[in-house]
Amino acid sequence: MIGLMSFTDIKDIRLPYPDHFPNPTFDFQKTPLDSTKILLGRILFYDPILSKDNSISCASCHSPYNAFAHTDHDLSHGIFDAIGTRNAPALFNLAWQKEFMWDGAINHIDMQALAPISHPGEMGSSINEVVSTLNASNAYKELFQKAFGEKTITGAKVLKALTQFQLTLVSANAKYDKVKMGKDSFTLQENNGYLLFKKNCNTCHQEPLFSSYQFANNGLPVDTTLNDFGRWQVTGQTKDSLHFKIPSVRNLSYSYPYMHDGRFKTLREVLNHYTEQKIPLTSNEKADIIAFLLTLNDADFVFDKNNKYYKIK
Amino acid sequence: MKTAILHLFVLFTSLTLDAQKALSISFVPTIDHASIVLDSNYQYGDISLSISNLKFYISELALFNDDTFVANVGKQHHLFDAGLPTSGLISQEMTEPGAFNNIRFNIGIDSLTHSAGVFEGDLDPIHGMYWSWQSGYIHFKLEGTSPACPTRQNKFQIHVGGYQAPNNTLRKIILPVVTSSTLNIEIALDKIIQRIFGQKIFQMMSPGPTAVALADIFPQIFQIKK
Ligand code: HEC
Ligand code: HEC
Repeated sequence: MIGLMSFTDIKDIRLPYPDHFPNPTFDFQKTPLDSTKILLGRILFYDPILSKDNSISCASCHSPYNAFAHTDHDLSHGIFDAIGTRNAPALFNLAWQKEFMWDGAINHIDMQALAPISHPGEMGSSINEVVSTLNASNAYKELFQKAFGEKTITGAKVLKALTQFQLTLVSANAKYDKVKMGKDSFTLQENNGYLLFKKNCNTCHQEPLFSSYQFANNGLPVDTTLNDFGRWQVTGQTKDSLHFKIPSVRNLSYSYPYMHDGRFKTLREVLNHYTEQKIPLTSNEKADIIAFLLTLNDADFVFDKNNKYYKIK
Repeated sequence: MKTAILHLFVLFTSLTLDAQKALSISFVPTIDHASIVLDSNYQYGDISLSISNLKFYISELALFNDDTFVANVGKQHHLFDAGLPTSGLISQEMTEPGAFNNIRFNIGIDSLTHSAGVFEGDLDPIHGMYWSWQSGYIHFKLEGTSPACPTRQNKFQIHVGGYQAPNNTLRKIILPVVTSSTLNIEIALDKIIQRIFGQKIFQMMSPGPTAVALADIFPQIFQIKK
C-alpha cells in the first residue's frame, strides 16, 4: 500500500489509501496524479531556490522526520531568522482537506505555496522571482519539460507540481490503521483510551483522519503577545473568534509542540488543558487516552524514503 | 450582484454581422476623456496624479440580443493591463453570430474559478493579481502616485477583490451597442479617482465594505465610445 509508489514513468497514479478512509476531497478526476510531476514537486519542496537568498526551503519548516511539521519551534522560523506568528502544521492527508492554514485563509492547496513564497518573514520572494530563477536553470527546464511537456516554466506549473508532491503525503499506516485492517490489535489500555477518545474527542478529531477539518474553539485563552483570533480574521464574523482549524491528532510524537502557537510541548499538558475545559478525566484516563494517541504515530510515513530529500542532479 | 443597464432610454436596433466576419472590441481607459499613458502626470481638477499600474479582469465577455445569448467573445478570463497595449484588444472570428444589441461582461473572476486551484495564462498568479496571504484574485488594481497622498512615497494602491458574500466585488456590466464590427469601450476612471481622493482611500488591499462600495462604481465607468 503505502511506500509502493515508485518514480518511474507511470502516469495517472492512484493515491494509495486504505479502505477505512473516506474518498479524498481533492478532485483527482480533474487533476490526476502523475509521477513526473510528483518528483518535480518533491525536488522543489526541498530546494531553497524558492526563497530570496537561497536559504530556506519548504522543508526548513516542514521536515519529513517531524511528519512535515517544525519540531522544537513554537512559532515558525523563516528567512533572516524572522519569527512567524504561528506553528508550522504537520503536512499529511492534505487530499482530504478543503481549507488550508490554521484559519482556513487559503481555499485550495494549489494556492497555498504563494503564502510562504511571498511572505517577507518566510521565504521573502515572489512567484515571479521564482519563475524567472527557475527559467534560468537548464536542469529545471528539462524537469518541467518532462513533467508538463513544455520547457517554459509558469507560476501555475510550479504550484501544480508542489501540489502533486504534497498530495502523496498520505499517513495511513499507524498501529490504529493496522488494527482497522485486522492486522494488529490494541492493548487493553489502548482500547480503553480509544473508547474515551470516541466519547470525548471524536466529534472534532473525527476518525479515521482524526479531524473533521472544521473550525472550532477548544478553549485556549488568547495569547496577548500575538492576538491571533484565527478564523474570525478570515470571515469577519464574531462567532468565529478564536476558532482554529481542528488539527489531525495523527503523528503527535513527531510533530510537537502543539496548537496553532505551539504553546504545549507535551501531550500531558494538552490533556490537562482539556480537563480544565470541563472534559472530566481522571489521571488514569488521561494516561489511557495518551496510550491510544500513540497508536496514531505512523513510522512508515515518517520514514518513507519516497518523501525524502531529492536533489536535482 | 448589481446589474446596470446604461442608457436604457435610447432605443437600439439589433445588428447582424456578416458570416465569417471578425468582431473586435477595444478597451480604452481615460481620465477626463484623455487616454491614460502610464507614468505621466495628469491634472484632474485640483488633483494631480500619475498612474503606474492599471489591471483588471474582463470575464465572460458575450454578445446578447435582449436577454438571449448570442456568442462568446474571446477567452473566458481576460486580463486587461494598461502596460500592455495589446491587452486592450479582444477579437473573435464570428461564423454565424446572429443579431445582437448588447454586450455583457464581468469585471472580476467568478467564485467558482476562485476556488478551483491554479490556472495558466491570464489567471497565473505571476501577474500579481492574486493575493498570497488569503485566497482570492484581485479583480481590479489601480496604483500610482500623487502629492495628495500622505503615504510612503506618495503612493496610492487600490486592490479591489473579494469573492464571498457579503464582500463579493465581481460586477456585471451590460452595454447597449449600435451596429459595427468594431466596438470601442471607454473606461472613464474619473469616478474612481473622485472616490479615492474624495474619501482618501489611498491603500486598499483586502476585501470588505470599502472594496464593495468602490466596485459598485464599476458599472458606471464603462461606456461605448462613438
Ligand atoms: C518559515 C516557515 C515556513 C516555510 C518556509 C513554509 N511553511 Fe508552510 N506553513 C508554515 C506555517 C507557520 C503554516 C501555518 C500558517 C497559518 O496557519 O497561517 C504553514 C502552513 C502550510 C500548509 C497548510 C497546512 C494545513 O494543514 O492547513 C501547507 C500545505 C504548507 N504550509 C506547505 C508549504 C510549502 C509547499 C512550502 C514551500 C513553498 C512551505 N509550506 C514553506 C511555515 C512555513
Ligand atoms: C470542540 C472541538 C474539540 C474537541 C472536543 C477536542 N479538540 Fe483537540 N483540538 C481542537 C482544536 C480547534 C485544536 C487546535 C486549537 C488551536 O491550535 O488553537 C485542537 C488541538 C488538539 C491537539 C494539538 C494537535 C496539534 O497538532 O497541534 C491535540 C493533541 C488535541 N487537540 C487532542 C484532543 C483530545 C485528546 C481531545 C479529547 C480529550 C480533544 N482534543 C478534544 C478541537 C477539539
